[in-house]
Parts: sequence; structure tokens; C-alpha cells
Amino acid sequence: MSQLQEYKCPCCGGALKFDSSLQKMKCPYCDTEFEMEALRKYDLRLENQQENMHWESTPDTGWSAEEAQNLRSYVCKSCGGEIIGDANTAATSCPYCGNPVVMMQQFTGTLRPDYVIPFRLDKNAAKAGLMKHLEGKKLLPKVFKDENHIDEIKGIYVPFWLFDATAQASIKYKATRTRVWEDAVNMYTEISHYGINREGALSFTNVPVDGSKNIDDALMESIEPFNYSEMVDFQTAYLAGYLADKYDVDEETSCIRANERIRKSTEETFKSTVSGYATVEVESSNINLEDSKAKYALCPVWLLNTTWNGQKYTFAMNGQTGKFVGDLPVDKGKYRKYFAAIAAGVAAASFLLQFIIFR
Amino acid sequence: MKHTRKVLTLLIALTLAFTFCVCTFAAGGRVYDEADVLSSDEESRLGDIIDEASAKCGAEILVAVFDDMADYGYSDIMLFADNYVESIDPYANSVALVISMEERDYWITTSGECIDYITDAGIESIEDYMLSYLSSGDYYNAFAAFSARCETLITEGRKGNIYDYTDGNEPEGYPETDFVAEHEFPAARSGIISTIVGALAALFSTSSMKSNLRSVSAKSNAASYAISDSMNLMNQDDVFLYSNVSAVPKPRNTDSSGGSRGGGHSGGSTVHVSPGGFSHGGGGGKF
Repeated sequence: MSQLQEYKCPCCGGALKFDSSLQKMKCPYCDTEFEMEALRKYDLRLENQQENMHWESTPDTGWSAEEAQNLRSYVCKSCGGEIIGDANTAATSCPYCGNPVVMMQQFTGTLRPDYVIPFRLDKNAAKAGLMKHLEGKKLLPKVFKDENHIDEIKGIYVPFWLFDATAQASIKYKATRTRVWEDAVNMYTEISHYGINREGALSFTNVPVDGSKNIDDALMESIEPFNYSEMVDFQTAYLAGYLADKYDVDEETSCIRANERIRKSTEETFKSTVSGYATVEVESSNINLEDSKAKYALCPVWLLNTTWNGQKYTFAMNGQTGKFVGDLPVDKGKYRKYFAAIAAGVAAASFLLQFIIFR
Repeated sequence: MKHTRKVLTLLIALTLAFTFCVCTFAAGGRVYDEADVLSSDEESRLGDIIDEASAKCGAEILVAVFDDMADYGYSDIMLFADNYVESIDPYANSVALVISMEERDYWITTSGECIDYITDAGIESIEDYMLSYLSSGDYYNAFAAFSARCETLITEGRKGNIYDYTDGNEPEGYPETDFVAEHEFPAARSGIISTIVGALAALFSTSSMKSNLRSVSAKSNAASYAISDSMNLMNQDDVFLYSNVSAVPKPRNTDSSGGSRGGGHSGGSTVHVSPGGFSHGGGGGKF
């Protein structure tokens, strides 16, 4: 049996949603607003409330064993409709009545996030972000902008691992200095070789790694950074009205990516202390992490999908800062026209200039 | 015996001069281009320029370009140039630039009054004007510059203002020659260059437009997440390991222009007597 949580309005019984502009819960039916602190207490009560609602479901013979393993079935408390989600779905909305629901068991025990960054920007901001993203792109197919329709737009809390660590570094560099001089007969070049050693520490905080397999890691790194000063203790109430996934890439797997980035930054930072040489390259580096810890946080992301020429394009907007990213298609016809026009224009100008100078 | 030797030398010289004159200089004119370094149009225009300069300064200004002086039995460009001038008019007031392309030798030879007007310093001055063109293969402008500077030196010389060394130094305040090089517009070369420049510009611009459509990329580092001022450099040392020195011989200066005029800037013209018995000044070298 799966447990769902809806936030009902005490006034009218309508489903509450988190309003990103008010930073409060709001009833879309009677416009009553609720403070997050009140709902936090409500959350605590819910955690202690152990329901025992056992539903027997007969597996549909149409699903394979693997498919069935990755599917979860929930029943909407408002309308009784069946909600099908995958194994990681943590918050969604009922496809029948549209009420937002949160799968509480996805946040129990070690699955409970430490922090959440609430949405600051709403769906309209995401749409506007896409339109702005398409502006000024000379090689973008005109029909893509004109006929483009958003297949899907969803606000999703993406699970992130945030790593804190102090890197203890011992890095050896190879460096050279070059001196050139001449006498009446020869030109001399002296290359002096040096061994450079740097030892020290550099601290990092909140290095993010996407904890969801379903979402492209590069897409998530492209919308960095989030403003972690606005990060708050996790409350399920923030998820109402949005989608949410629980992590399916664990901390140990995610730390590999964090280590790569920390190592690169540490080497570059210490390299900046090596000056006065013609060339500097890392010979070896030994980096140990101390005081390392990982936090589990949900970060707000707007995902937009569009289809053009049979190909799917995914865009992402940071739901907190509004940073919008997403690769766009190239109009090959426009590309050829621009290439020919620029080449012809510059060639003609170059020819004219040479004619004026050399004639 | 001594008398016999003198007569013999004179006979040989006259024979050579006659052969030279008959076989080679029948074409006449102040520009002779056996090596075909000038187009017919350039040769014609240059002929006009040199004719005008010669008329203005009242002396013969000549230019001759040969494939190889060895074809005429010469190995010394100075003797070759002297004989060329003498074959045309040994008594003329003349200055001639003679070039042998095979050896890339040139010689400026002066005769008559021009020996006085165009001193060793004057020869160097002419070289300053023309050598860069000559070395780069721009023969038209090299010969035009030669003609223009010769005209200035002779014209000023006739006024008593001779370009010569003063206390071993080149003269100050001497009139510069107003020479502007002519350039034939190299349309084919410019067309190729322009096409390449246009293609590169288009490639750069369209690449920039293409990259404008790409905004998804993984971050290479965690620089945004390093805590400011948290860097603690506990140990640093830079140790010299070893050095190696390589030596490359410097290119030797092969510019021998003016070297044949003897050492020192003593002033005046260094004069020699040709096998034909005529006095010449001048200087030359390789280009």
C-alpha cells in the first residue's frame, strides 16, 4: 500500500498549493493563505500518524516483472482515481482531479531530504524564460520559434547531493624558465627546470551533484548555481503543487563526480600560486578530503519539453534564479545563407581595401 | 717589351668591347632587360621615366639586366658593368645599374662628370633607396628609385651640392628624393586572399552563432563552491633541478653592398680604371 498526503484547506476542503511568489501555502479555491511554520507543525503530526490502510492490488498481467517493479500505484484521496508513478516519484498531481499529492513514504528514514530550496519562480516565468531563450538566435529555425509549442512544462524538485569538504592537497608541479641571449656568433636558449611543491588546504561547501538518473547531469550543472542561503529545512508542504523525485543515485556514487570537480578546482587554485615561470604543469597531486559530509536537498527546476521535426528538446530553468538553458537546433539553410553572405561581404570588403592600398 | 704589352692589352680590350657592342647592345635604349624581369608595359613606362630623368639632370642614366654575365665571359660584375657602359659611349657622363641575375650581382658604375657627382656616399644613398625593392623582386620600383635618386644626386652635384661624407659621416640636410613606389594591383593574389579571409570570417561568425544555440555543458570544476579565504598554503618550495643550453648559429650577414668600395668613409669617389682604359667610380654587391 502506498501512502499519499494532500494538504486540504481547513476552510473549504480544497487542495492547497505552495505559492512561489508568496512563499506560503495557498488555497486556489478560497484564496486562504497559510504560513509555512503552521504546516511544519502539521508535518510533524503527520509523521507520527501511522495509518494502516492496506490495499490489495492484483498485478496486471500486461506489465512485465521489471516494469511492475518500477511502478507504484497510488489512490487519490480526493477523487479515488488511481495514480501511477515510477519508483522515484515523490510528489505529483492526480491525473483525474488535478489535486497535488505527496508520496509520504518516499521521504521516510534515510530518504528524508535535509533541505529544500523553495520555488521562487512560477510556470509563467518559465514560459517567459523560454521565449527569451529563443530571442536573438540567428540560426534558429524560424518555424521552431513560430510554431513551437511546449509539450510539457513541469516544476520539479530535483534531488541533489550537496557535498562539504576540506581538500588537503599536496601537489607537485614541473615548471620551466627560459632565458635567451646572443653573442656575435650564436643565439643561446637556456631552459631551467624546477620542481615545485605546494601543500595546503581549501574548503568547499555545497558542491552539488544531481541525484536523479532520469535527469541529464550536464543539464543540471548548466543551471547552477543555486543560492543556498535560501535553503530551508525540508517540509513536505513545499512540494505541494510540484513534482518531486527521490534520489536514485546514492551518496557514494555521487561523490565521485564531486571529487572530480573539487580536485580540478584545488589543482587550479594552488597552481595560481606558482608564478614567474614560462610553463607550469601538474606532475602529481595527492588530495585527501577531511570533514567531508553530504547533505540531501531538493532543488527547484522547471523542465520544459518541446518536439520539433520529430526530435525532442528539453530545457531547464533554475526555479530559484531563473537561469535558463537548453540546446537548440540549427537551421542548415540559414547557416549556409549566413556563411555565404558573410564570406561574400568580407571578401568584397577585403578586395576593395587591398585595391585602395595597393593600387 | 713594355710597349708591346700595352698595345696587346688595348687590342684585347677593344676586341672585347666591339664584340660586346655588336652582339649585345644593338637594342639600344636606356633600359635593357635581357632577363625579362620587367613586363613590356613596365619596360616602356620605365624607359619614359629614365629618359625624362636623364634629360633633367643632363647625364645618361642606364639600367641593364642580364641573365648571366658568364654568358659574356665575365665573372666580375664591376668589369662587366664598365664594359657595358663603354660599349655604349665611353665618353658619356653616365651612371649605370648593371645586374647579373644568375649570381644576383649588381653594380652601379659612374663615368665622366658623374664620378664626381655620385661619390661612394652617393652610391650608398642610391642603395638605400633601391635595395629593398631589388631584394624583394620588385624590379620596376627598384629601377625607378635608382633613376630618381641618380637624378637628384647629379642635379644637386651640378649646383655644387655633392652628397659626400663629412668627417666620415653621411651629410645632414641633403635633399631627399621624392620617390613614391608604384604598385600594380595584384588582382589574382588579392582575390585568393580575400576569398580566404571571407571564408575564415564566415566560419568564425557562424561558429559563434552556432555556439549561441548551445547552452548545456558540464562544469569542469567546483570553483563557485570554494569558500572564499579558506585557502591555507602551509608549505611551498620551488627547487631548481637543472638547466640546459642550446646554441643556434646566427645567420651571417651576406649583405655586401658597398663593400667593394674599400674600407672607411674617406669621402669622394673611389675611382678605378677599366681594361679599356677609362675611369669609373661606383659600387655594388649582391641583392
